[in-house]
Amino acid sequence: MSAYLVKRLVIAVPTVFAVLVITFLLMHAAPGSPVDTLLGDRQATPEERARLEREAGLDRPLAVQFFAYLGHFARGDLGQIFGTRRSIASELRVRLPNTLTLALAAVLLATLLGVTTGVVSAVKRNSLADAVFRLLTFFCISAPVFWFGLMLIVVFALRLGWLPAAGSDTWAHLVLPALTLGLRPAAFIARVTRSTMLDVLGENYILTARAKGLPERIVVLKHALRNVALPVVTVIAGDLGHLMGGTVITETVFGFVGLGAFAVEAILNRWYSAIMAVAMLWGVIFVAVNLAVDVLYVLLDPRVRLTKEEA
Amino acid sequence: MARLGRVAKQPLVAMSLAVLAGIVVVAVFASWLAPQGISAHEADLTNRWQHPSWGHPFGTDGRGVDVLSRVIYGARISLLIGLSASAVTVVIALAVGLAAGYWGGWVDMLLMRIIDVVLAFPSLLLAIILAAVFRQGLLSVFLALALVNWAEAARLVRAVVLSLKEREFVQGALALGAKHLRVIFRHILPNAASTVIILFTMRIGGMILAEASLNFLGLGAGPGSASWGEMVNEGRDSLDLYWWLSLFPASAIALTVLSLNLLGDALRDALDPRLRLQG
Repeated sequence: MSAYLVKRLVIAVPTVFAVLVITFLLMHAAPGSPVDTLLGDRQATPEERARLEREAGLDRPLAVQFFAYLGHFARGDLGQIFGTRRSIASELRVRLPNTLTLALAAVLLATLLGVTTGVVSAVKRNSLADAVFRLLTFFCISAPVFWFGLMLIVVFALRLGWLPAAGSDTWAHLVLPALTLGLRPAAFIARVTRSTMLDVLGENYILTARAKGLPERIVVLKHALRNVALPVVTVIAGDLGHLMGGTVITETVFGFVGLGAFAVEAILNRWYSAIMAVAMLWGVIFVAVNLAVDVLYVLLDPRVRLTKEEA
Repeated sequence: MARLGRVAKQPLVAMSLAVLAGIVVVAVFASWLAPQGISAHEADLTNRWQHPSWGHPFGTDGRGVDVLSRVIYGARISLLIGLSASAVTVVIALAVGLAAGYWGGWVDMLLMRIIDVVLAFPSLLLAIILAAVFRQGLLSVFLALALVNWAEAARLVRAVVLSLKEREFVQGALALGAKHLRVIFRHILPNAASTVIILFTMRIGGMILAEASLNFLGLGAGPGSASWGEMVNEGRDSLDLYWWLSLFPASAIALTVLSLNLLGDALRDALDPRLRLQG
């Protein structure tokens, strides 16, 4: 197992490196620079501009700039946002936990909603509940994330006044964003749960369990439901990129102080060092989650473990 | 074809087809159907922020422009981006997937690594970066979306090609000395057609959503344009006062994408049930 994980890590390194290189090159290819952002509409003399560019390190060759980032990262130095006194590390220290909490809450909510509706849909196949859930599923996949956000704000914050519409300070601030972010994955989870349960409920061991006279509740929840774990993990892992994109939108809608909104701010302002830091962080998260999913597979599916031990 | 005919008879699919046909008609004949023009010089500042009424069923925006008219014109942008970006995506995916699956070896290795890297990016963030590279405007949104979203589809095409390559009719053609290009175009592509059709249909909705998201974040056609995402964005700071600014364009997005997804799903079930879990 550990040898396998190490191998996966080694393969992941070039991928993360490529992500960093592409991010770096694309950002430099985009018109504008941190110096332009700092100057804004102000006319600067060529000397002043050259001085600022030297200060930002933009006068050096691209390769030197790129490896300078890597060198700084290796020493744990993320630098500052150019032209401000804001330290990137302290920005991320606040934003990363917020976004992780938001994403985790969304995934938990999605799993809860998705598995529940999926099981009901499968057990009561072709009933009214099944039809309603399936239509809702389609709707959750089709409506834009920001639409959910705006609707939830109108209903629960503006009309009913139950929950805050913006901010990221307390648990109450987490409810609407997590729901906004979680509805799409919930729909995918509901789908995969329904189809897995329908497959499983036709299996012989389910027939055996019923023949033993076990109550239907036990058959469904104990014998059938455990088969859902693996496909659900696969769906969540496969949707990770979308989830990250979803945090960008969700954080923007709710004025939530998180990584996604920061990434957009950094891209639009051409804060090169901040973008590189976010890309690096994302690469690490991406690799870590994929490894975690691999481990989960082994834990959830005894067949995977057996073949691993034999090998 | 008979299978497609059966698909179209399902009530939900028939409804989706009707909705989509309606949206296409609205997009094509927007300049006749829209009650008012939407350009800046036709704005009526004395008529700003009107509630929905008989005169303005969807209300008016902050420049006094009829929201219904903007939503009607917006169908053009959404369909244009959705169709063109999906088409380009599918073409890229087909080229990459065919090359990787058919030739295998180091070509496959290299292309799969590239796919891995593209998939390692959160697609929306990569699209935002690309949109920044190509500057503002519809063309930049189109390029960003087309360049970001092909990787997953390419993987699927590769899998289909890999399995087709082992089939007897392909092996037979190769044994008879058929050239690679002939095998690809005569034997593999026609058999991959249903996968491609499904991929294309399923992508359109995703592209429309992504276009709306980019516009919502302020990257895209720009303020005052008739993009649905941009309209939602303009209304979001005054939701409690002028809810109609965001609600109608957002509902248009949801309705369009919902119809496309229902159609794509039914097509997939009819043409290729194996793909069912990969939506």
